[in-house]
Amino acid sequence: MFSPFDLPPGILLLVTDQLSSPADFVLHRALIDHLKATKSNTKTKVIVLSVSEDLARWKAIAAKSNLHLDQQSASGAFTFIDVLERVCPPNTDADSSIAPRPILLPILDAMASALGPPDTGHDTLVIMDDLAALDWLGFPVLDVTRFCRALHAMCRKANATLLLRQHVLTPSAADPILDDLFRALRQMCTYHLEVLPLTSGRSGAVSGQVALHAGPGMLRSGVKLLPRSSALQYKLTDGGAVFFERGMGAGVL
Amino acid sequence: MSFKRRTDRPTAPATLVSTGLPSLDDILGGGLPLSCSLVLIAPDLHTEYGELVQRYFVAQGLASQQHVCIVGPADWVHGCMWLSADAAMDSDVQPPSEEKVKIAWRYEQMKQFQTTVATSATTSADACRTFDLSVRIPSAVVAGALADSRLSLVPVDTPERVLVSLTNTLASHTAPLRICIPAFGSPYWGDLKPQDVLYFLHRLRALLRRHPHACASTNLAAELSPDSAGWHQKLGWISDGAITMTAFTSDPALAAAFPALHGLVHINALPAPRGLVPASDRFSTLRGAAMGGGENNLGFKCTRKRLMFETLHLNVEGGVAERRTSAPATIVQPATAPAPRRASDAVVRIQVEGSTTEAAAATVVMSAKQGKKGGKKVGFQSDRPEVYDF
Repeated sequence: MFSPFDLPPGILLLVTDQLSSPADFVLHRALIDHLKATKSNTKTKVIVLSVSEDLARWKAIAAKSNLHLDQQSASGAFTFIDVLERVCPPNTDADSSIAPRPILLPILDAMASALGPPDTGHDTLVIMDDLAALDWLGFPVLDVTRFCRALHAMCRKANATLLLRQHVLTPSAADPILDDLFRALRQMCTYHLEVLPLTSGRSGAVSGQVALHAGPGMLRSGVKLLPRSSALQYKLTDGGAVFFERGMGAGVL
Repeated sequence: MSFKRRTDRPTAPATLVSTGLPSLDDILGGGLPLSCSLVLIAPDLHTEYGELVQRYFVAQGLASQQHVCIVGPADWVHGCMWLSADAAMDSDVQPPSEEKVKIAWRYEQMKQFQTTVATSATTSADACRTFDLSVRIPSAVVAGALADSRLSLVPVDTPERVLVSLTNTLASHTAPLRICIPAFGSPYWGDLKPQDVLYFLHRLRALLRRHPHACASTNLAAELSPDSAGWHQKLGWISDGAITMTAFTSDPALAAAFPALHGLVHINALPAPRGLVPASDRFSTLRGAAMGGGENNLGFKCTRKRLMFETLHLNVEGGVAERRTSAPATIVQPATAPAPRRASDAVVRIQVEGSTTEAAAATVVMSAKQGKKGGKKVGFQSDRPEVYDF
């Protein structure tokens, strides 16, 4: 997908990040690279399912790479779906005797209409920008997991790449923070891109590091995996991230 | 033609709003950008530093004739600080003395060591006023702001109703608006669960994005502020900026280690509304990350006249106000019933090396007066100047 990782299309890429090293740059870079890719016979399309980020920020960051999302939106290459405008978290105090209905079904409907019929030949990328927020805002983990499975199934039918972002909480004390949603996503993904902060704290020269792990759904391919011990470091700039090997950044040596 | 000039600028710089504190503005990268939300977390139950920052935020808005919306009662506004003529001169800070201290010439050109940032003289007077904590806001100012509709009040209610009220307020304004939500999650808001708090903050941020002429500053009630199960991280993800102010009142050891400060500041998140990198990373002097090195640790100090955020440093002695070189005496209770002792007596247990019987152990009660070494004295004999008598 995007350099320097060269991931194959049609995968489910799970992106995890922490508060001190947000993976926004991965999502934005994936969108920009996908829409800017010049392919002779196929049209590219990006669908963003947004929970946390607003459309103005997507536009502003894409504009820095000379990509105008208004034009892309007009041509049908870019679709923005605001998740929390269509659904709201269930009221836990309500009567539980009513038969449960999938809460996130309207998003899947919107997604299906945005994807279109499966044989259009579009090269599609679907970005879900924040699953953890859904969990924290009160959506049941089971519903979110089922939603992700359904989303993955839809993307596989359309041969689309799915990119899911999940925030990982790091415990301040010794007790671990259990995250059922992350475990479910980890079992589902093809690759797991882990954006980590530096263990030595924030730095002006190095923003963080990126590790790439194989997921259970990985096919045999020539993707070079990056364990945490040899994670690739990056420095954030306005337009995106600059990657370099550990100890090779400007101002480090 | 190989290049063209871009006429449209979709990424115009965001308008910044001062928080009333120059040092907090510096941490935020110049101020709080419009369309962004800031959450202040002060987990200490005995102090209200989060609310103090909120009062600065409101006082700055009223002093610079901006529109302010407060979710709370009008009485709260009357507790804000205000301007005074000598506010710039802090009584706790020693004025430079007239006598010039003689220092080595090579160090004379060096700047004085500073732990905080001062109000920049180059910025306009309205950008960030200097407030005095010992002066209350005049009632006439509050009444005038209410009469001019520059100050609007939203009563505290359930989060859903407050959001509806804020939506109406935002729709009726076109000028820049500061929204201040003090003590969010207090009992007046009802029985809020953590997910209700997060949902409100999330909706508030979405509301600000739809009305980009406003910004909001919220501080959480102290009972909702302790960090458990990644709570502060969740708040950092849900809001644009999140800053934790941990006062030392909960930890006397820290107060002793940093006598010049009143608490630690932890930055959870910083606003970056139009880019990937927060403006603070490039422009903040206090954080110090712009120089390419690591980030400074920060603390805050509240003097009689003002609150300020500072860099965190150990003292000259290494963090303690006095030297602690002598080890405390170990007190052991004697095996036999002791004779009544004075409070100033110390008990020392002596055991002869190699002996195994308990009888060998003797208990000696030393009088504190006897055991105390006399202070070192240095005597100088006038007839023998080369000899010092210790």
